[in-house]
Amino acid sequence: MTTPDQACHELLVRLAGRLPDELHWRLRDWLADGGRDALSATLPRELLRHRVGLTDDERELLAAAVGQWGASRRLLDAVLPAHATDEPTVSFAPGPDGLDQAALSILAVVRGHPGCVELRQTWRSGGRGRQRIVLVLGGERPWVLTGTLQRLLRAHGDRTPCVEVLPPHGEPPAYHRAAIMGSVSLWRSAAALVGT
Amino acid sequence: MEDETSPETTHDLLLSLAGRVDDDLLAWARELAAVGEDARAVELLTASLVAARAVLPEPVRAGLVAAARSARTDLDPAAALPPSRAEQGSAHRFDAGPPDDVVSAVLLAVPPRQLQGCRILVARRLTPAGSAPGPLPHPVVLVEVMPGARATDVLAYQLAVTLERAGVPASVEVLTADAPVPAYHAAALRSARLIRSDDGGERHMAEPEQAPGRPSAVFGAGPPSLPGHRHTRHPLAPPQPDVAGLLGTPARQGDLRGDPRPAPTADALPQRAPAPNPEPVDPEAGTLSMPAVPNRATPLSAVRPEAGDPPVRRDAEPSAASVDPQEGHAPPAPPGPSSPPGQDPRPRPGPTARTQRPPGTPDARPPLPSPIPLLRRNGPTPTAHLFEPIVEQPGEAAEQPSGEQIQRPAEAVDNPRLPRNTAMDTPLPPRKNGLSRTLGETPAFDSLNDPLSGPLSEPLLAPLLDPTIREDDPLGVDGRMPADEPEPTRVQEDWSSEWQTGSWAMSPSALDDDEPEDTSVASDETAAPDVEERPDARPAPRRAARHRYVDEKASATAGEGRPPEAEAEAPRGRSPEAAPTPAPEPVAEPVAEDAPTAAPEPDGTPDPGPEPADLGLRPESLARLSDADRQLLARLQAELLDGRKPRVSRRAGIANGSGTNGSNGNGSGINGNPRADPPDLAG
Repeated sequence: MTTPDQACHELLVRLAGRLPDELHWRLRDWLADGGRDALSATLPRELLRHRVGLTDDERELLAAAVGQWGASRRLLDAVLPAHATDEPTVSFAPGPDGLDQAALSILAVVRGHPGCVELRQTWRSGGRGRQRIVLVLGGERPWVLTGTLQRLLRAHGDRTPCVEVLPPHGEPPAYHRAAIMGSVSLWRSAAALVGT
Repeated sequence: MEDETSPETTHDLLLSLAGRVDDDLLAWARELAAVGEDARAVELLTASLVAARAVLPEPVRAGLVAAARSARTDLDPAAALPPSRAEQGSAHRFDAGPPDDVVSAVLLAVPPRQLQGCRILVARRLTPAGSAPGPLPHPVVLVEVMPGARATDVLAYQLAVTLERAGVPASVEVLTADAPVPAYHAAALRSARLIRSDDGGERHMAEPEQAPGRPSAVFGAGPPSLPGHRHTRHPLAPPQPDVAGLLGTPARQGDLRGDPRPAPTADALPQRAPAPNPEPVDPEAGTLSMPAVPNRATPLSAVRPEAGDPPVRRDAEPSAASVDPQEGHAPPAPPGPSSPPGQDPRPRPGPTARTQRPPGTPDARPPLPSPIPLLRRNGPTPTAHLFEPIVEQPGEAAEQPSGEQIQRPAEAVDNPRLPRNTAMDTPLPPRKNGLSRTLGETPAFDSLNDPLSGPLSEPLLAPLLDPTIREDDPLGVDGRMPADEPEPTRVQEDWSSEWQTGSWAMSPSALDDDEPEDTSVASDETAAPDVEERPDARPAPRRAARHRYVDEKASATAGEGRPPEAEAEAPRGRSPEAAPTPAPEPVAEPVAEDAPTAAPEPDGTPDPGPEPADLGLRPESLARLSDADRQLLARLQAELLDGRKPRVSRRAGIANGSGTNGSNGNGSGINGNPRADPPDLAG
């Protein structure tokens, strides 16, 4: 059983690259802050406003998340359907070698967060320009970790932080597959390595 | 009410939320408000505050609740937000920052037009704002504008975009001079640094006074001096038109936005004015007010305690307070007022300019018919295409077949150069037809064709006509003079009209190419119908000449009959014919010269008959003849007279039909006196 928060987090992960970054990070921030009312009132509207279609799985996640939080049924039903997610139109690259202060700060947080397996970073190009993408594999309460890392990045000047906390196993969405392929590993959990 | 208040209230709400949400969200909300999407702006702000469980002072909280209701968000901040808590002053700290920071440089580079009537101050916030703050220190730009002169939300958005494009994102807070200043902005003003002051002329007058009051650039240091400065502005502020006039281009925006505002500001000012009085200056909080409102410096909370809707200053007013909670902010539609002003100018220029221009196109076409005026020769319709007039001519000819037929002989009569004139006359009609048909039926071709033929022919015709008349005088053709008089005038008119059109310069080449063919063909074609009449036409002019010399009285009848025809018909016949026969006429001139010599010769043989009395010969020629010859001539003339009488009668009949007038004309003409009766009658 997935909790509404977990479903919402998974849905927001799937919506990465499909919603504007300036909105997407706020939704995650609200989720991390426990802003269920804010999400239930905002997420369906934003999906409709940006004409983002959801697959059946995503729709179930939406219903499991904001649907449980009192979102308008009318708005949920109005969300456009989608058969499959489109391939990402952006490109990812590892970026310069070395870790900047923001990366070091993230590393410090991820390293201490339970369940984290790996930290990767990539830079997305296309769309509005160059954007840092932080990929975290594993981690408990991923939505909280996401919010924390986002705020950390904002404090370092990233106005639209993009933090993707993915489950350690499973097939990631196309957007994240491309990001992982174009990313560089910043840290890897020794325990995870031993375990494997 | 809602429409007017919502944009103002949204801007005021954003001002009251400054420092309570992250700067990016505030800037985003300002952008949305500037473009008229106040509902979404309120939705995002409410969601962020609800998610962060922000604790707000009652005025701000009430204002947010009202705005969320008016925006019809699914959020209920009244229930979601924690209870309000009173605040004293602002927890944020500011400093002036370095004088040569990038923000100041960018602001100084902004065109004066955009900041006309504004005072720009900059401070750096040292404390985080919102649940996900950005890096610190964060630059805060404070803009002071005169009430109603500028669209505060639009100006804030424009400046924010300018700074962001320059790579220096900063918060832009636009404050109205007369409005109370929130504690957040009061704290910022205390540490703000004046960057530039693009006030109008009046402010410039006050600047020197302020200068001493404001030490260097630190704005907060000189609150006492500010009030005095503001007081000077207050009287100026209310008259928006004055400000608009001083601002120039920015005044337009002010006018647009100012329309809704003037009333609210006027309302707010009197109501707000009392508020500051009861309120003592807040000791800590940013009671420091913008220069215009020194004592009011207390933030919105000071005004709102009366009303439950602090964010909206207007709502804070007693009357508005009751309205706000229920009616709340007008639905996003009210924010529209910001947009409507912008919309107003758009429709104006577009439709008006285009509606007027359509007429221009029709005007452009008249020139096309202008080439047609060449057709005047042919007919009265100048606008008709050449092809049409040509058709009309035959039509006219069909209507008055006798008339045209008469015209040609009449021309022949006018121009005694018998062979060539006839040839010239005959080819003329064919040319027209030929040109129009060969060169094309389109008006453009027609215009080209006609001008070519017409101009050349006419200028040459005019001189030809005159010499012919002069030549006729020695021949006794004076009787034609009266008939010719109208012709040259008309020809001249035609010539002048064609000359003015300038089409004459076009044709020669076309005519040259077509002339030989047309003339030949025309001569062949047209000659057939006229062949029978030509011999008749030839003797007629001869008669007139003879009559003049020999029997002026006798020739009067015959001479009168024909010249009048020529007179009446010449204008018609020549106008149409002249156009096509421009080229031939130059050739005709020499012919005309030769005509006098050639004319007597042919006249001598065929015509002597019709004038038996003197045999139609001059005394000199008669003297040359022997008696036998004279007798023979007399016989021949008698025979011819007998034989010609029917012909003459025909022509006389024809001439009389149309020539009675001519006779009258001759009678009254110059030739009337010298002329005598035609020889036929005399004989």
